[in-house]
Amino acid sequence: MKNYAIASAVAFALSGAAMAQTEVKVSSDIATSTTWTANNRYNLQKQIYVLPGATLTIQPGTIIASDTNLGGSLAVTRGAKIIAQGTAEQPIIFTSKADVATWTGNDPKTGTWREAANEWGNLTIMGKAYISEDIPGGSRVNSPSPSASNVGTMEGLTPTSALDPNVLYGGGDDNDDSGSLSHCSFRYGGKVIGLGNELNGLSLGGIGRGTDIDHVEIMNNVDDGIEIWGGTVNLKYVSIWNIGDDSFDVDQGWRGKAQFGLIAQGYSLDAAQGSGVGDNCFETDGAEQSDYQPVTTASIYNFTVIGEPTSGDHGTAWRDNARVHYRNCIFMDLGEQLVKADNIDGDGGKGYGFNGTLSWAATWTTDYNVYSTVNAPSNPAMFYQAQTSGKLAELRDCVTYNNNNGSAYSEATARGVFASSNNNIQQASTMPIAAMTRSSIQLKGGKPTTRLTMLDPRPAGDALKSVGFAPADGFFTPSQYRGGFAPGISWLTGWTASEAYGITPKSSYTPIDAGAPSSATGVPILSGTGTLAPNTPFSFDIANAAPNTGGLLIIGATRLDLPFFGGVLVPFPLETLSFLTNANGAQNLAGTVPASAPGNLDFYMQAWIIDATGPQGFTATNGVRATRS
Amino acid sequence: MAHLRFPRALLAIGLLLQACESKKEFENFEIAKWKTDLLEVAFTGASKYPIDPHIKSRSKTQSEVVDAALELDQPLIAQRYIASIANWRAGVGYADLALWCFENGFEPECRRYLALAEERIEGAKSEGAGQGWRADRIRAHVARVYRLLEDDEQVAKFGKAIEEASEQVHLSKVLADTIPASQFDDEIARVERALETKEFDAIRAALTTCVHLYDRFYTDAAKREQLHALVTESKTKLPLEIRIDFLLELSDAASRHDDKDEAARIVKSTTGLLHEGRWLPENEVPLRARVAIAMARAGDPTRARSELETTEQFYEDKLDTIVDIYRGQCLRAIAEAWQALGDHTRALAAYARAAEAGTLNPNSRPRADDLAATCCSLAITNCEPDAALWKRLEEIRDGLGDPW
Repeated sequence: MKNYAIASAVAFALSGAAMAQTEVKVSSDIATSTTWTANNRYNLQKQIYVLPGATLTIQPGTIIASDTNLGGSLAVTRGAKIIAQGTAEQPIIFTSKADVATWTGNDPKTGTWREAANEWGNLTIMGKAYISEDIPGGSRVNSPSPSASNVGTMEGLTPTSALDPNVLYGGGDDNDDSGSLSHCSFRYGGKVIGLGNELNGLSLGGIGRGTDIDHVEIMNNVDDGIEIWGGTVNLKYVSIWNIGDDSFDVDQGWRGKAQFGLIAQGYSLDAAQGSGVGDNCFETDGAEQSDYQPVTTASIYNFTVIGEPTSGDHGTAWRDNARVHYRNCIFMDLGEQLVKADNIDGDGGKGYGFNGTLSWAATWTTDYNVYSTVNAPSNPAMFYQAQTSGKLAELRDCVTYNNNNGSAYSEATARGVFASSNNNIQQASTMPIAAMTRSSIQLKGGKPTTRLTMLDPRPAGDALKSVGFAPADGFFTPSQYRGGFAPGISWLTGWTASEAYGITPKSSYTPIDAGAPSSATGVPILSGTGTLAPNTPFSFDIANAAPNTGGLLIIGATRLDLPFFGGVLVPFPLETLSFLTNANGAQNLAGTVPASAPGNLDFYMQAWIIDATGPQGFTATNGVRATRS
Repeated sequence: MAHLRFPRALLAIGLLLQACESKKEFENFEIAKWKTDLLEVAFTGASKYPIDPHIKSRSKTQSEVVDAALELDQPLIAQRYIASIANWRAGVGYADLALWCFENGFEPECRRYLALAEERIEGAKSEGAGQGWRADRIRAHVARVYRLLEDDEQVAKFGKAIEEASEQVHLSKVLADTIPASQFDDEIARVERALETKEFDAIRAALTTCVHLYDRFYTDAAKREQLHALVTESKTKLPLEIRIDFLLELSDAASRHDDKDEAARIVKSTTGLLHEGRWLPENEVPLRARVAIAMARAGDPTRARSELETTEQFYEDKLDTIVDIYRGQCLRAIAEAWQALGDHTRALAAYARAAEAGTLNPNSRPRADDLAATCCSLAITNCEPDAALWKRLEEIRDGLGDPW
């Protein structure tokens, strides 16, 4: 261990306390591009559409708090855009006024969890990427092979006419751009006006990979958490809590990637399973009709999936030819099965093997790049880019724990999931996350159930180190651990309801995705401990780096974000501290914050390490924003 | 026997000419000024987008003007435009400029632009929370050029991006245009093997090769029949849009060789496929307009005009169901078809309507996109705007601003 004193140069004022905001009632569709600003608070009065051609820009720190139970909701139509880029310090919050009533002093970083959902609508985004819906509405029938003219009618929206363009999704552009979402928290939603069905926390229909989505939280929702219909959108850093139906639901040919996720099952309402008590953690449908294309072919890395052991259903449910990779994940506390072969979704699909498609068993033994010839696109390699190795269906390098249903592992075992070559750890002996506390069992929707009242999702035990890691393809971060969180540091810090409600711990350290990976061990990890208050100890920890080599810890007061030696240099360098890693590729840099340290510390740091397995002779850790907590 | 020496003077002149040829100036090809003026209206319009928060939309529209500049053989204009693109699309632009240089015999410039494209890959990785496909897109375009340069080391460096179907298709075109005639049978055998694989990328690339060979060997009846059969009797079920594309290309090839009967037969089978489809009006109108162009090329201008009239009426009938931001693309397709049919007046009228349709939406984002597309289309189809349309295009450009 090395001792350092922090330079007092890295002191910057944090933003002040929450300011008074003027309420703006939004009661008209948005035809003209509009910016919602953080000095106002927006209240959705009905289903609001951002109409084609318009862009809704939402400033960091903006709160959209709608009248409780009125049913205000937001939908972004095909050809419209939403740009809602919050930050860890200033998230964008979509919620109800009942939630705001629990905040202290109007501060969005406070509040109390309530047994509630269905208090406002949701955010629905509709794009123009390929989907595989069969009957979009009326008498129209889509073609079974991919076509730019194949569209769907969005669930939960009310068409005013046949093929009403405001509720259609799908098209022929897998690179379509519907905008950007970052650091957005959606709470207590799901209410829909005028229809019998419910809304998901975030609905994504036909969204192309030109759309950027990262750091999204769904806290308590009456229907699914996130639902994706077709398209190629990629998601990074998603946190989904207490969902009334499926936490992460996929349909109609999603061909994207997702990495770094948390699913915490529970309940949001005292209502039936599917409308208040959680159902499946992942529910993946291939296509609306099983032989249509595109078919869901996705790749999911580094999710921490915490089921509900008394009322929850399955960890992963599979239907209508879905093909998914689950790698480097944690599956624990599942109510029923880890892998459930539902085969069909109950609304008309014919299941695996229909019309010459692969059987359920063959899907697990067929290479990822063997494309179906049934209703195929002409260029499947372009359609199916998410998977780059292995078989079409996989659960690999995962750890499972406390899945105690009698048939928890039966189907997974039949599919060879626990063959040694898959590097899965079945029923680990110790909990693979740092800590959690459950509520007592309560009867909700006629089912005995629980929810998490405290969770520290950082990895422990068998999750601390995986065998393999995600490919360095520019989207995935090669991370040699299991679950959604790196050892010692959490991306939930600063912007989430789970932290505001005291369920996940506050921290002084926020990770920034920026590392340069080693081809052997992935991206090294930088984390920190300590509150950074004067006269208190702190510790900066480097892990998963090359052993016995030199490095520099770079500290700066501002962000540079400069592409550099195969990674991104995060801090604008003010000060550097040299170090040597130990035989385990780790180093601990510790000290005491000086008494003279200024009141508000706020700085950035990142470690760069000499490593021949790095992109250009170096590896780099994630960046870290450190601020006094 | 007397020994005749090759005249030294002639040899010297030949070498000099060869040297001049290899040192041709790297400059824009000569085209009418009004075309470059149109590019300028398009690009300055696209550049009025505020970078924050519209960097993605701005760069996409700018890069579409770059594509048009290259299609019009204006490498220096393209270079200038690429330099002001603020995101990863600049990398793709430089790679495409390198391709233009390769195809036009400017190898040193080709390598210089490849280097500039490669420089943009690192930056692309960190755009949009690490959406790696953007860097991959640059790599794919770079790899394609290195493949053509036969630089295997660089191709290997840029990895599997070259495997992307669109790149395979491009290479197929090059191969079809360059293989020696003596290797025709070998190439057909390769195509047949590819068709048997049921690997769709391979099949599409193989069929692309067939279409180009069909054009190249059109006068050889046996070869032509063989290639026609390979394309139209493919055992593989391809999506309708792709099948229509292949058929229209065959028809155009037949037209180029003045075989109007064959071209007409192919167009007829294309219209059959068109009626099989289930299209949204904004997708159907451009397809029908393309079929009308093929009809005209096949020697039936009367039917082509009739088809285009019907298409235009179909657009009018469906107008209420076509969202305003998609109307411009329909009208541009109709305008391009009128221009191809030689009816400049109707083309100009349709372009004028397209320009107006692009202003129906109250926001500058779709307006800028439509303006750029209309200007580029006018330039590429060689349809010179009249004074009124010029004035309107410039007014639209000058009017771009908030709200975006």
